[in-house]
Amino acid sequence: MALDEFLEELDRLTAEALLTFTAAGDAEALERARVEFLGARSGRLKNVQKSLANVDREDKPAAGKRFNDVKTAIESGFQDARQRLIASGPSAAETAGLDITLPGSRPRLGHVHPITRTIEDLKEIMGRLGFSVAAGPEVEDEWHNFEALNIPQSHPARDPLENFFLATAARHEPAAGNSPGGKGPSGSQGGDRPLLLRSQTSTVQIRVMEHAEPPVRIISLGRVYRPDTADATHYPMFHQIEGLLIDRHVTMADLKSVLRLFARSYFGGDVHIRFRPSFFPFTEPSVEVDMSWNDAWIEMGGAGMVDPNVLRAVGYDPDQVSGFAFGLGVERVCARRHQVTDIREFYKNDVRFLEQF
Amino acid sequence: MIVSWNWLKDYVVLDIEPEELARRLMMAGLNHESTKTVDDDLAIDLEVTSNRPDCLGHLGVAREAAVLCGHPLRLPPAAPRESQPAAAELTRVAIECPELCPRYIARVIRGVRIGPSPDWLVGRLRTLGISSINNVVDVTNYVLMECGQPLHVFDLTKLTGRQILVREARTGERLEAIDHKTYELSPGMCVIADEQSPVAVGGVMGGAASEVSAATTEILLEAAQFDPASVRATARRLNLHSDSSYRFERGVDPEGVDWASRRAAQWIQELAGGHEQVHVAAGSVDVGRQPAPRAPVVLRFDQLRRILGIEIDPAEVCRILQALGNTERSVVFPARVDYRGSSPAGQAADGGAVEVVPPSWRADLTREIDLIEEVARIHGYDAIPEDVSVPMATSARSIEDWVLAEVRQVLTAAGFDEALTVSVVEEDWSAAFSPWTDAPPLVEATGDS
Repeated sequence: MALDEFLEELDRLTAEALLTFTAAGDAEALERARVEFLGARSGRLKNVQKSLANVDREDKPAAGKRFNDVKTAIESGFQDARQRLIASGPSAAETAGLDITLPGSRPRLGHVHPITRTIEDLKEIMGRLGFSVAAGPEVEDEWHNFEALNIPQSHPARDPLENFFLATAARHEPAAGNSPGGKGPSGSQGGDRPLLLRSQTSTVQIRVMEHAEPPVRIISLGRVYRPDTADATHYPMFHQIEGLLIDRHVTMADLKSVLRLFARSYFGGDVHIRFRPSFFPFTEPSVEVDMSWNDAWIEMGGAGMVDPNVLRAVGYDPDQVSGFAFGLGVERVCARRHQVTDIREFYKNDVRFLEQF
Repeated sequence: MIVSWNWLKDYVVLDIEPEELARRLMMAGLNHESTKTVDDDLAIDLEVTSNRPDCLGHLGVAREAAVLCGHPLRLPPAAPRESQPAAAELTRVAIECPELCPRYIARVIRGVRIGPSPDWLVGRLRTLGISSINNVVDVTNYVLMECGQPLHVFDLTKLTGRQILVREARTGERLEAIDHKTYELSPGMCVIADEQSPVAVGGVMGGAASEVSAATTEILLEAAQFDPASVRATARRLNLHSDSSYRFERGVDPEGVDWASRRAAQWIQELAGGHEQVHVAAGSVDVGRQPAPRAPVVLRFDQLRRILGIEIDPAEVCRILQALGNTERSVVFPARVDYRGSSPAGQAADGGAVEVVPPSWRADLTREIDLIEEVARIHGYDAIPEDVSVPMATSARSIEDWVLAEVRQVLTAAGFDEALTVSVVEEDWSAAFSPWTDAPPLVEATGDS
């Protein structure tokens, strides 16, 4: 074969190869083009290489050199086309999908205080039993905190050292008409003396009853204050939740049954209730309530039938209506549920404590 | 209140195990705190609620045990051998402040020989954690722990004028008590005094100057009633508390005052020389208000069902009340009792009733509801069912609760933790957070716009 024929063939092959590579739209087309031109056994470049043998002997060096240039040009043309396709198509990472083992960015969530959580739980359980929430003032007068609750002046609970009486109390004149029996001095009679921080939430029960006719079905809850030295199980401020049901024909069997429903709801599983006789001035009979748990009896709180003197104090007729009341200390319930051993932690508000709930 | 197992057995047959007795007492109202072994005795610690001062003595606890075990109570004798001259010839008592001390009983005992107490007495006091002092003082502690009535003995020769004046303390008066501390007295405090000065803080503690010593041969034995509120206030102000003040604060049995006086006189006579040597002057000087008869209380049988939710056989109700010391005055049994009826309308129109006079040692029993509680706790609260159906009702959620829940949700989602702080704060804290001010406004308002 003449040299210039051979060289022309090489030029035509180069042009065609480069055109075909450029025109390849995707990886498959490019691969077909590669096989056609650069295929190891029957690619066109290979065929041309075979026809190199037909070139005249004295032209072979020039032809051989030209052939190598063309080979390099076609191969680099292929690589360029390949790079072009990679750059414009989806990346490896994308074609492989999402890596779900990578950690997410974690937002910092806040925490509701465990006492609030406990109160909300208890409210919700009692709500399902038909008890609505009632709230009242934390600064109370003596009628609501003592006299209406059948705690006479001589009772040790009224001792100045057992209560947080306010210094402002000394500046007020005794209100006229502050007599026991009949409705209290709030509202109609006026002359409420804010005298002390309430020592029990039963004050709220009195406030509800003196303004409403039976039936009454409430839970009163909130903070109460007693001058106890703070230690692992006592604090001068704590939370109580008290239930009250007044209607015609309410009995101690109703009390025990409601307490059992409450305990079963709160602890799950089968729970039994036990009464032990006790004494509170505002209930008669009065009992301590235990519930069964893991073959042992644990103390739940106090309860009883509302004392007729209390019913009369709020204007009810004890021969027409009867009712029960029960109370729990929220801190104790919360501490037991979450195994908190020192109730002072609840009021330190250390974030390391709060964020565990 | 710590009671001795052996001592209780003096008053009631105990044919059950100590643990069983403690359990029954607990289920009837005396919480069982602990039981400890002391020598050959058991010290059983019971919690006595403030409405049951009658259980601040072994007789009261024994009475509960007697009711719960179905055995009679054995009341011990309280009868010293008396002789002339009468107590009224040997001493005088005057009460100037009857509102602080309603009653004072003095007995005079002469010829006593102060010495150690017999082993059985020392042992019983030890079980209760009380140290032995001497035979006469130990008797006063023994009778206190037996019936709950506090007593005190004075050396009669150390009382100027050999008489007692119960009065208010005067400003500036002081007393060295038997604990050998000196106390400042003030008006409002009841003191026992002789012609010259206070010899005891009424109801709280005796004075050192007039206390019984090894040389004492003539004693004045005090048994009295003091106003509970006054004793409590005095004990608080002096920061001086005793087994006596504890009991006076809760009230003592008006009919038991004289019994305790006679009982102590009997023991002192027996242990401090015998009736040949020890002369208990006849009678006593008993000044002040005599115990008034108790008013009867009526219990309508249908009220038990109404309050407790269970039926209790009226005969059982009467048995319980009598066993507890109530005297039955009259009873009308119901004409027809419908045990199956579940509504009051299903019962007989006349449910019957029982009328009783409560015992003097139960000041807390004055109303029908109090008797209902007595019957219930002895009959047993386990009889009250825990699975009656309670009428359904709806409950309402307040706007306030709804809003608070929303606020809490938003703030915790935003990363805030909820803190609960003590309500009472220092004044400068309160000022720092108060926006109110009296300072003049930064921008003056223009006249009329």
